[in-house]
Amino acid sequence: MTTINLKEKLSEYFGFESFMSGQEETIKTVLSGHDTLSVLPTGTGKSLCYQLAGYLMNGTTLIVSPLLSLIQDQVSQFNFRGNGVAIGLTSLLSYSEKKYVLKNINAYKFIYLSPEMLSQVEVTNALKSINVSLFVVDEAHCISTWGPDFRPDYLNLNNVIAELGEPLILALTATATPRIQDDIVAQLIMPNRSFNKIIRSVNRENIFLSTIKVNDEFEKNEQLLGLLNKLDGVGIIYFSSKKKANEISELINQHTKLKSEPYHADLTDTARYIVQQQFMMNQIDVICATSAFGMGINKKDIRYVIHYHMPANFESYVQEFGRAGRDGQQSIAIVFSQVNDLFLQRRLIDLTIPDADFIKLYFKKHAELVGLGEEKGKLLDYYYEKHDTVDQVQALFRQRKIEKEIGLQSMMAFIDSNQCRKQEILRHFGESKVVQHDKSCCSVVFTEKTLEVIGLEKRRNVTDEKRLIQSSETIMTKLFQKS
Amino acid sequence: MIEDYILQMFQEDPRRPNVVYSIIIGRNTVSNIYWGMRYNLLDYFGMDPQFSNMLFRENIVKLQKNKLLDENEVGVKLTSLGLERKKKLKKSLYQVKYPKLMNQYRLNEWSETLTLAIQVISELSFTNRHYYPIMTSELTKFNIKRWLSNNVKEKLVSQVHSELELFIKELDTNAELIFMNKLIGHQLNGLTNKQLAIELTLSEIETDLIYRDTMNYFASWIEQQEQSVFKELVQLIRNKGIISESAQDTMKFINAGLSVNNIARKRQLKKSTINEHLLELAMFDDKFPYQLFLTSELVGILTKIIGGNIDQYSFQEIQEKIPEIDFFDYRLYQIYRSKNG
Ligand SMILES: [Zn+2]
Repeated sequence: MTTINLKEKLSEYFGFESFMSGQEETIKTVLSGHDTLSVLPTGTGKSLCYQLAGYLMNGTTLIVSPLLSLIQDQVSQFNFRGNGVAIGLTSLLSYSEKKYVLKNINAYKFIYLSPEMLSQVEVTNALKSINVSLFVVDEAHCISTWGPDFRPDYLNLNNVIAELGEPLILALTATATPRIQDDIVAQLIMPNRSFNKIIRSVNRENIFLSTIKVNDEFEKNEQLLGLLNKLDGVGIIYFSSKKKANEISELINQHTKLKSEPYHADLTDTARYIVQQQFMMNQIDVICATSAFGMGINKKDIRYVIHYHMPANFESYVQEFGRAGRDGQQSIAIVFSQVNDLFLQRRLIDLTIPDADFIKLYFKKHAELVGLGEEKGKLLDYYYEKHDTVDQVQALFRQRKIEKEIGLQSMMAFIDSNQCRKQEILRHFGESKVVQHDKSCCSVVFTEKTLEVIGLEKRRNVTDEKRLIQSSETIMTKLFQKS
Repeated sequence: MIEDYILQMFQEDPRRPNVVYSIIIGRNTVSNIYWGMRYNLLDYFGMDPQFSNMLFRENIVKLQKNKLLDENEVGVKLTSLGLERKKKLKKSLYQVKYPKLMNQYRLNEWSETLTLAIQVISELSFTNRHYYPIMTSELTKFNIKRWLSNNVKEKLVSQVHSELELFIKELDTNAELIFMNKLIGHQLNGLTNKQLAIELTLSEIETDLIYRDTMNYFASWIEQQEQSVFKELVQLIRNKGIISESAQDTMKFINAGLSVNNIARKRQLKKSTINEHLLELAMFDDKFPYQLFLTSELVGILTKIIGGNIDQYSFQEIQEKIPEIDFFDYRLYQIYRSKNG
């Protein structure tokens, strides 16, 4: 397949004129029959890689993705293109819907799955009845126990790939240190095969990076509101709790002229759809999101990303600020840092990682406790059903906790260091590239002058129109075109 | 605001909060339905299947803290302060207009179905095929596809348009604003409940109630029309009635003259299950044949003991007085009395 051909296909299927960095190389190695690991930074259109390759291959493309919201968004993008060939096989399907989908599984060209679906026998049996030609592991860093987002059910993927007759593998991630890259390959590789690696720098030249240090939350909110009033364009603020996201969104609506909406797992599907569409159409200035949910937002002209809470690790930080400036225009990312950040993040770790006593109790009284332990319990169920011993599981989670703590420490060190922000990030991801630091690159401490220097000081309000439409007649004309 | 609606579900006589919660989410057991009937809350049965128990509990605690509710060993009741507040709320708070419709339709499915139907028709009218459909269940997508193929596409746009116009004439201002502004289409993103609440200076729960009320009314309005392009869709989201199919089957055997023991044997069910069916039927079927199960003698004895307040004795207390009575007899008698005074 030649370059010209691929560009034609890109235009035919997606209406784009050119590839972004890393896309074409990824598609080429896949189409030439090589297992591939692509590390492409957020905003370079990872999903286009497997979608175009999938269209051009015979058979079905399976995509394993860790987040329900991400799957929903991807499937609705297929619907957007008018190709109703994708399905999300997730826990959101009702029993009868799932039965229907599995019975008609050969009707779909692209099948998105959550990893836990692949441990269900009726699912793997249905998949065995079709020709799976490409097996895509999205957010592939989740497979590595070294990584901050490790998902135990990703460890099972290797077995599934073997069971499905060893289809071609494409592993995708936005962030992976060399150690995690090696781990991904080691976990996925089939006997007597090898992986091609396509690695692009995590560096984002058009995003200015900076930090604001505050003493307490009151000061943080003051600074935040002041900052929002001076920033041009629209943006996202990331939070580590839904409650805070709601609270600050409310604060913004009350104390600024900006329109803000929270965006997290508590929203209904319809509300999420509406907020997303309004944001796309510039009817909302600021989205207050939790990390997991912000991933579905696919807007090119986001001018700023603010971290209200310190990110838990480099990987999340880089992925999240990478939502800014996908159009290549100058953008900015700011992290708020507060003295008790470490305390807050440690508490979040304690909330998600079961300790030794809990593990012991849970295994001993599994029959009584199953379904009660919520997030921690679900995590432990996986190991319980695998018949791991208490000692093994305790050791594993001790290790997980250490990994999380290391992630946290290196994030703290980053905040406290006075080196070039971008160089520090590259160093973390093992890149040797030297950043040409200048005044539009980054600053350790944010000053308002920066906005002038990089041309992001407020020029106009994005949203102004009143949202409620009083006249039903007006609504009707917006709904229906008279023929 | 939610707490105001929760407050309204209580009275001066104590009510069990668990039962009130089960009524709100529509947990379909004979005991819940019985108490829903006793509390006169059956119209609100299943009004919000997604309502969280934690939120319910938090609000009960909050109301107790504010001295509006009080708890004793029997249950939770209004204080005199609470009673005063309830009277005020009756005037100031949005009251459900069509409580009888609350459990006739599966409202979440209906809302998702109608919104998608209108979005699809809207885009069809602009001959646009490239758009993000709202996120719905696969079943709803399938239903809409079938609906489209069962109708003449060219006519659908004008049919849907004129039917909407006709329907909104029936609505008051807030209902019309909420109903219309929640629609999604070619040049319309729709508004969330939260956004509507802010714009209309209502609470979110009031906005939601008005919407639910209006959607229920729309469904029943469609059913009453001689012709409606939406009829087929409403059929799909209609509840088959609150009486379970299994209980309906039991009724057929009763009508054919079989005894409870015979029905149990024939259907290979436990006798207690058949008795549950009978209680369910008694509650919802006004023509229930009590005389087949309650002797006039027993009714006489029970009425003599119990007098006016049929909730005052527990089953254990009654059993001490009439050792041979079983729970089924007693509960059936209570249903009989609450229906016939
Ligand atoms: Zn720099």
